Amino acid sequence: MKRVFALILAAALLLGCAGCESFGGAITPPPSPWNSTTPTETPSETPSTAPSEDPSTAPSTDVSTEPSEAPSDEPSEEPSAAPSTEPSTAPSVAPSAAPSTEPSSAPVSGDSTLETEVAAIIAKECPANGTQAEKITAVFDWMVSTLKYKYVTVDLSNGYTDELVDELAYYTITTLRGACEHQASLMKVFADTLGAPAVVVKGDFLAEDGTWTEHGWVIVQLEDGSYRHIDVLFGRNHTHGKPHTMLLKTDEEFKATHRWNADDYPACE
Amino acid sequence: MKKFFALILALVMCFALVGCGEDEKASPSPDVVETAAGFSASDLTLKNGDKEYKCDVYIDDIIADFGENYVYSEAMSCAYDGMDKVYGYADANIDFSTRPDGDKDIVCEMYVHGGDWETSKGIKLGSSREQVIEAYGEPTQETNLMFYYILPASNAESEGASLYFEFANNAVSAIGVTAEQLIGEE
Repeated sequence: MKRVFALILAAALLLGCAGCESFGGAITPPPSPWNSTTPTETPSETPSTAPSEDPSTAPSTDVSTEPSEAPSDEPSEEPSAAPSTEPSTAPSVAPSAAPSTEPSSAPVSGDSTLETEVAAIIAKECPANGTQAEKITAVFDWMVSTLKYKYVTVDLSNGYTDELVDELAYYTITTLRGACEHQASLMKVFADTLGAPAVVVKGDFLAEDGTWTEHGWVIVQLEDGSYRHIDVLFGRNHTHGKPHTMLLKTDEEFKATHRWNADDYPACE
Repeated sequence: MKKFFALILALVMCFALVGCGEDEKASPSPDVVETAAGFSASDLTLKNGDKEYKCDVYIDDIIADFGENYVYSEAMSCAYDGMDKVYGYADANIDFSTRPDGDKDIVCEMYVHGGDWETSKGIKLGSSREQVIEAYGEPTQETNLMFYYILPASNAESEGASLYFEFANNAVSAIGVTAEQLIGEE
């Protein structure tokens, strides 16, 4: 009888393990381009990561070792001290139509496009049946946990044009790094793709040492028509492990640490 | 007795399924990196001839070695308190990025984009993806343009040191080394 008992136990355990494998297989995420074990497509160009002069703070006449990111001599924009709580009369999330005269460091790579890279991440990270907010949260979490900070300056003399945003976003998603402008641009592209039109905000954030520092983040328009702030880099680097304090927030919730010209952007109420 | 067997069987299956459930929930954080098989802290150097360089040294020491003929750029960091600074030596094809360390600046990244630089395992500009994998194993993170080899950080507040390769036309076009860094304010 003991042998029968042991046999049944062993069989049950085997069945249990088999069940685990089947279950695990069922939840295995689809292949990702980010951790593939096979070599990827050959890129045709390499990204420029050479730093260049920050247009707002660097007084030097930097000559970058790579020419793809030209410095700007544009003086820093001085945002208002506090955002307006009044609704903007004509908010627009449409970016400037003017093309950037200074191409950024976006690489070009074979059949890889910004759209395909963004679609791959959304497919991998976002819950298929999730709400828009859940999907935005998923890509935000992916960005916070994956992207690294890299000081690469950007010429913002023409603002965040479509072309510039796409270039910065592509640089970021293919190199997994970038400055605030890069990460904000990628967040905008993710949000746009998820049906939440976004605009990159040019403003400042309050560092812990009390200084206001030029900075970029996004405002998105959700499907209910409301606008909300999202700041990926600040969420990762300045919230002591609580990045969601910078996700889908109102003006009121943001103004303690951020400032921007409220006349230029939709009100997040 | 049959009831006893059935009870045992049910318990065993329950435990097995509980184990499966925990596996499902344990989605690994991308910050928790697995070290590539052929990659270790000793690989966080770049060599040129008989000279070898690494991060976490004062930029003053680098300037003493490379000279004052560098291209300098700086900006208030939007990731850390203090300034992001870069010292670019065009002739030597290397850039040094720094972060504040008290009154001094400490090298947090080296980036080479030309010349005869090589890694401790002999990967040079022009090496193939296959040669990189042969030397260091499968990368910790990979995109169509980059291989990242990342060491686990020593604590949850930091990101691990890394060695990375940029590719153009299937060949290494630039190599970088980053130091372990605290995420956020310092």
